[in-house]
Amino acid sequence: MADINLLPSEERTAERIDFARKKLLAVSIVILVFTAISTLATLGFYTSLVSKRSQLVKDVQSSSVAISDLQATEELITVVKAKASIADKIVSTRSNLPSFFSQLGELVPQGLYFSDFRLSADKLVISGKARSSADMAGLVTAFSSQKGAEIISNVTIDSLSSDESGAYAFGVSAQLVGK
Amino acid sequence: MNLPTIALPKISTEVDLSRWISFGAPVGAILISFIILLFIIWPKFTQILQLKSDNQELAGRVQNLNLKAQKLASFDKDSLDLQLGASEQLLPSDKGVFSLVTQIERISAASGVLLNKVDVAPGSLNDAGNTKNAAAVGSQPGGQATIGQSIQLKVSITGDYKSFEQFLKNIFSVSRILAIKDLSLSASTSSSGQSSQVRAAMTIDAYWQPLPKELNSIESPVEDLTESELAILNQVSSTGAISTPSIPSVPTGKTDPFSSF
Repeated sequence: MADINLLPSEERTAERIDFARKKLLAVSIVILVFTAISTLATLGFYTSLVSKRSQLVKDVQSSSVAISDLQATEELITVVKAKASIADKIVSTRSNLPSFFSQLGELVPQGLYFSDFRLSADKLVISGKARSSADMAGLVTAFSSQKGAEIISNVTIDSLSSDESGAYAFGVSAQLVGK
Repeated sequence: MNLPTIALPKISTEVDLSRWISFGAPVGAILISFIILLFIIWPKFTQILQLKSDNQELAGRVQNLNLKAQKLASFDKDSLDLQLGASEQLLPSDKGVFSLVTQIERISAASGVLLNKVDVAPGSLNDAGNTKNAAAVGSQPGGQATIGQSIQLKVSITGDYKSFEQFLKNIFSVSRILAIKDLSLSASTSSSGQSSQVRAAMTIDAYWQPLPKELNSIESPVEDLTESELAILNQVSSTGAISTPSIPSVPTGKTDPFSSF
């Protein structure tokens, strides 16, 4: 059975509007409070960030002044570092010729001598004379040994010829190994 | 049938209007709130984000600058002066042609070889940037890396093999960085036939490095010396050869500059 509402329809409409108005009022108050709080918080945070920024700028300036006061030291270390760095690179890439010749001397058989020796851009060309084929073999063996591989690589015999006395003239080329 | 006619007042429209007007205040408040959020809070919020990133960057800069200042303050000035002297010995700031030639002459004499020829084309003595081999750290067209700037001396010597070996050792023990690029040796037996003479021709690269004209940015960090760099500097310092090799002084003044010596 349907409810019997004895209130006049105008009054019921007035009640509904009043209820909606109250709801809207409550919502508007919540939004206003939220806006006020967020405005205060945002402005407060913004102000603190601005003051922090100005403090940091001051710190940068004071540190820059401190570094400028130590400019002479910075100049010294810059020059030392630049020169030492380049010197280190050159020393690490240049061939250690005294050591090379010292090791080479240990490899050469006694019955053999070099008549010509050319080193250019790590490419080595040697020509000389060996008393016998055994001495020549001794040189090749020495160059191919572990000790020889420490100073030269890619050993190639370019020429080998004997004369009537049994001596051998030879031409050998190789690559210098690192340092 | 006569019906009574009663004149009713028209009050319902006014009541409705007053009811709707009462909505104005909350709606206005909501509108104002949205306007504040849109035109004040949102721009400030974007500014805050920007400020935060700026502050982070600034804080990083401050930290780096403080570290740099502390590091610079921690260096010992005397030790740095010594290292500067050593580095100047390794790579002079100018070509130092004559001190180099003097050194080569002394090394030849000390090694027991005969210095046949010294050939050098140093070019301008002052212009740091106008040298043939001017390249800090670059690469040549052939692909071989070049490091530093250098002048080239073509040296020709004669002597026995032991003296030649000693000459090489002495060249490599000089505090200035020298490198032998091209070397050719030819043996010739002496007239007695007992001892062999070696004739050597070589190209010596003598490196130098002009002083930097300006410092890096104030915020660039101070680079530490590596162990190998320190070892090289200490090696030069330990030899005690900090002073530049002196060029012997000669008497000056000649009435006829064209007369032979």
